[in-house]
Amino acid sequence: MNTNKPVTLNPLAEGQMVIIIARFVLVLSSLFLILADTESVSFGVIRFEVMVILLLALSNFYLVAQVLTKRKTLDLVIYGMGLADLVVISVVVIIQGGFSSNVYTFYFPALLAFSLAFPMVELYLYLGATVTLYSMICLFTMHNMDDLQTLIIRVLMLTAIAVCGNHFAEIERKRRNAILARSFGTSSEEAQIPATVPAVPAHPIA
Amino acid sequence: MLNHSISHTRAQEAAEDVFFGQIVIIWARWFLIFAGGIITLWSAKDMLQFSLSILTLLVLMGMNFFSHARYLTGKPINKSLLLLANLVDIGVITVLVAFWSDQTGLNSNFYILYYPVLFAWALVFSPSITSLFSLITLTAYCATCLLRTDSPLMYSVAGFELLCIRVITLGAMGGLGTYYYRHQRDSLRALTARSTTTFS
Repeated sequence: MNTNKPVTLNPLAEGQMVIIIARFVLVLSSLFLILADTESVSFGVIRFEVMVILLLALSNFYLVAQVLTKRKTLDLVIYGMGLADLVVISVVVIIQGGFSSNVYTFYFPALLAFSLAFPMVELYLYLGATVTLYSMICLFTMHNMDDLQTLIIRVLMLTAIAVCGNHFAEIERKRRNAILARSFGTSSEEAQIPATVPAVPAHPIA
Repeated sequence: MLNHSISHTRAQEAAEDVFFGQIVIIWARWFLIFAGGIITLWSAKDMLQFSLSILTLLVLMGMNFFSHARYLTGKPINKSLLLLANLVDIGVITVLVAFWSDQTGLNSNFYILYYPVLFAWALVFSPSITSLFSLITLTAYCATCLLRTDSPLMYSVAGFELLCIRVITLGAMGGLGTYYYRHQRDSLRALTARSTTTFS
């Protein structure tokens, strides 16, 4: 077996740990926020929110177990969990009044993780779904034209996160492919960026 | 000699990170400028506010055009310049949160402009610089909220909760970006070491 042969790296597997950490951020901070304010929300809503969060935590433990045992997680499972995150955040946003809810900020870490892990087409499908769903929720719950401006800015920033993350992941992939191409002589079409930068001077422009 | 060689490699690696990664910062700033344009055209209340905003946007556009042009011609810009430009971004956003319209501090919706800036920063710079930058950003935002929010909201449970959500998610931008950055650096180093070992 030729061990020197370059391996094809799966972006989903690479970004899996970022997805896991982002989900734990979501779970822990949500629990903290729910328990910090138990007076303004009814007990039924709290019970529902905690149940959803615990389900998220459980599914995340499954992902952690897969990483620890070095087993490959099915791509479909990761996409499914991405959709579950989107649905959970959106449901909480709806419960808390739609446009006026601040929980939409949890879309940011979720999108960040997926922008680094998902391939381009899947990411932009996910972004499209997120933006469409959130815009629909807000359009039905906003009060005036100033709110529309705020919504546009929010959507723009969500897009910025996806674009920046995806672009960076693509650059890193190309850098790695360039090293592989240089070292192992692969004729990868992706190896367009040189691994080292001859143009980087010791003291770039002042 | 060996130490010199290792430090040179690390320095080169850091320079490459900034060179390759700066396009992410540039794109994040284009989004910021676009958002700034919408805010100015939509909600500037008088001519003075409008003129000042347009001037600020022009400065940001000039800065970004310069960075983008240097990137496209294969010439990286100075790391210090990049750091300074990011601090200017944070300054502009903080001014927006503190003074734009009647809704200031916690009531302002412009804090979301921090997200792409923090994320892009974490992807390009080393964890120590990112931590410092994130700390500066979060401190600036919290101070603005404390100074520019009505006391009843600021010192209520709802206000505390609001600030917590924002600080946690903003911190997550820096943290997750840094984690990915470190993962990529380790991966590239391992790959380089493997290729060196194979051919030595």
